[in-house]
Amino acid sequence: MNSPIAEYSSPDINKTLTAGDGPHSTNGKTTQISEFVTKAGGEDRDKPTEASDSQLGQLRAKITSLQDNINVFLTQRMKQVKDEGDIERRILDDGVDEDSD
Amino acid sequence: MSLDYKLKISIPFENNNQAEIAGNSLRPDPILKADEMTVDFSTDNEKLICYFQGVSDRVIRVAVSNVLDNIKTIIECIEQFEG
Repeated sequence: MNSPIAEYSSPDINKTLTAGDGPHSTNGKTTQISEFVTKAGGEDRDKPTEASDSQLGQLRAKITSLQDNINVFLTQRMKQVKDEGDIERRILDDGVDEDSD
Repeated sequence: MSLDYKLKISIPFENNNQAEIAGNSLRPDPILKADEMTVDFSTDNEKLICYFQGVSDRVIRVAVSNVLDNIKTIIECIEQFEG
């Protein structure tokens, strides 16, 4: 069985995302409950079951790895857009300040 | 609004029947914010193809994560029923 794969495209870039080389686990980094909750003694009651050794079990673990990689990639893209917006806002705000002096 | 942000995910199942079951299970789910994004499910032999188009990375991220969570649940079900 092959691995799951994702192909992203937007006006500025195209990118292929994969599950990576592994090891793969159903316990994804970006799909767990917040560490603030666990540090406060909270428990993840929706924690996924471990992947079995079957092909479908391994597929589920690989999808979790792919999901992590997609989430990290898109979160970085969102942060980049936000940062660019912040810079633009600062420049515009500075311009207003200069005009008002 | 133009749907310029696109993500196509290919999930390789063991056979076409499993891919069809997954697609048919996902398709009835209504899309939240249908004016901001679309999701299409199709199969290519044993592969389930999920095609997301949205107005931003943010809407794509939310939808993709939900669909992948659902696919993992579907796989667990297939494994239980067929195992």
